[in-house]
Amino acid sequence: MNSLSKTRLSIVLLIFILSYLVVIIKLFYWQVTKSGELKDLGINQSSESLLIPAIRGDILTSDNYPLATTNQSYLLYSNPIVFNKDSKSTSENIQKIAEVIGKEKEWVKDMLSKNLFWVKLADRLDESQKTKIENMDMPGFGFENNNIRFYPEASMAAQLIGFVGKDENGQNRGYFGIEGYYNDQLQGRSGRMYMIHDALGNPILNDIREEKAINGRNLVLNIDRTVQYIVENKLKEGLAKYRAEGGNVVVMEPNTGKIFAMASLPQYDPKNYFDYDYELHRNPIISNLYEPGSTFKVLVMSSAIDMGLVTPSTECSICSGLYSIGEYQIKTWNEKYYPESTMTEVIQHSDNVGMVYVGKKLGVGNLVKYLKLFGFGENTGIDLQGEISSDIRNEDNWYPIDLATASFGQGISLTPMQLLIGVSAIANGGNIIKPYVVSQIITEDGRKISIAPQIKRKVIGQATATAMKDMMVNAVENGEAKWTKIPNYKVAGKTGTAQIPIKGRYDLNETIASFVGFFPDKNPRISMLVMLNKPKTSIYGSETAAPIFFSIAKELIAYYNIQPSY
Amino acid sequence: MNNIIFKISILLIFAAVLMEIINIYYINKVSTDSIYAVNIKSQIEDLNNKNTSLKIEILKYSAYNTLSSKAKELGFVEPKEYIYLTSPIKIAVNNNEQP
Repeated sequence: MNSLSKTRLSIVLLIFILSYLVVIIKLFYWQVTKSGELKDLGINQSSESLLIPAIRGDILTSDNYPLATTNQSYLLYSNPIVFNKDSKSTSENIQKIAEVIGKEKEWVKDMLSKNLFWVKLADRLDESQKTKIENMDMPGFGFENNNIRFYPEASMAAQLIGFVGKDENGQNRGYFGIEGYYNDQLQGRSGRMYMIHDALGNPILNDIREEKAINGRNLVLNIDRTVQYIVENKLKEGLAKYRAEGGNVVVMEPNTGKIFAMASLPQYDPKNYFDYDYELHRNPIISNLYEPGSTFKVLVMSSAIDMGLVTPSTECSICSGLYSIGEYQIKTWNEKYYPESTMTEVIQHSDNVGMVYVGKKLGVGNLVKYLKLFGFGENTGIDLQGEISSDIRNEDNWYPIDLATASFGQGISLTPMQLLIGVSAIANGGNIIKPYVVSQIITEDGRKISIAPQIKRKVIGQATATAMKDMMVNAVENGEAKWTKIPNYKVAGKTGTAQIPIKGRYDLNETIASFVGFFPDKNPRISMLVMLNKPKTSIYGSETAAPIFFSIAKELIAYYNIQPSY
Repeated sequence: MNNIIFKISILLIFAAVLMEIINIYYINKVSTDSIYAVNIKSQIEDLNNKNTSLKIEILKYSAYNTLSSKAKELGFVEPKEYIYLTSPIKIAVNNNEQP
């Protein structure tokens, strides 16, 4: 081989070597330098991460019927580009879709004419709607699964249950009532599934990793569905009959604090909470303050009896007529006066002047002390979101007229729940108990966590409670509501007709009419408060709230098989 | 010697091809099983959804409002009053007492 040939051979060999070097360098670049980035791209292309939503826990009544549960719903979406290419994209078919999803045809047509790959057409469709659309067999439509809250009894106990809305991150969250208070227990924890899929999108079994979802816990309530139904019906009837703007009823077991029923009207539909005013979402029984009026007298009287300042037979020395305090004059509700009435008769006649007598005996210091012992100025601790409480003014800020009006329940604010807890202390021998709605929490693995009753403190002695109970029984037997009492049963109760403060003065024509009480007189099993807001047929509690109370009581006596008193 | 090396080479090539066939079969089985599993999963999901729908239907029919409406349609009425049989009853009176 001559030198020229050798040179040519060397050059060709060099070219080959250089070419291979370039290839190796390029391979090194893609497989080593860029390996991390390309690996991530590959994983993104072939791997998938699916959210496994947790199913929200059910809210069950004491007989295990769900007041709130989870239902399957579907979001309908469309690919307008695909749909419009198909021969089925006719006006007639668009009309059919619009009818199924409950939207205007023109709106659906407008959405399907957009030059987009994905448009949302409807949300919260049920199984039957999905099936109808699937049966139309039209291309370019798909469904996404959603879980939505379902309330089988519709508006029953709406303010008690609350509703499920969205938080700032778009996640489901409970608001108000039980849904809000127990949101952490109910919501569970979503899981996630990580998998690799092939070129056709099918998952590869070997490469599936799952973080299991933990479903929410179920809650069993003390609420009795039958009692709740009775209460709501009677309240609706009463509202219509007495033409009131609203009403509330609470039924409770006075010894334990178990809430058997809690109803407020007007109601709202928790499934469509967004269609209702925000004010309706609040539970007025725990979230609204009101001046209780005469129902409050039993607590003031109890305080005075407990301190030994009066007895049921103590005679009122100022009850012969109007009573003046500075520029103010205190008079009775019916302007009838009973000189030297006993304390029992003061309660029976709902005598404001008699209560001023009791209030003066107590004095501001003792009254404030007992108000705090009865739980006013603090939350009851009920397991519902949204509870409020008013403050009790410092003793130094009380004027003589404040003491006088507070003694008959005006000029002092509390929630209906606070009042019922106070009156229940008379029923149960003197204990302030913590009211509670949820009796049991059931975990995902079936474990049951029971919630026990709690006694917060003793407020009055047993003897005081017994004496006050007898006075309340007498008020029902002989007072202004005696026309509505239940034969053969002794019920302890007190009417209330509270004027409503508006801009610093009281409206004389509109009241909050109420009746609070418990039965049977021996070993009370039920304590109940009925309130009507601005009844029109009569402003008095004895003529509006009391009949509703006794109407409900009759039903409960039969339901619980409570024996006659005599 | 060359013959042995040749035979071993053929054997190795054959083994490599066989293992590759087994590998392809295994990967294919995993893929088809995955598809089968996805189908089963989809069926389970469908059945669960139907189960939920049926449960919801039962709840709707069991709601007190529904039952009350149906009862009214069938002619049921609410009780007007209750008669109690548990009140004390005198079983014997003396000559001076009213029965």
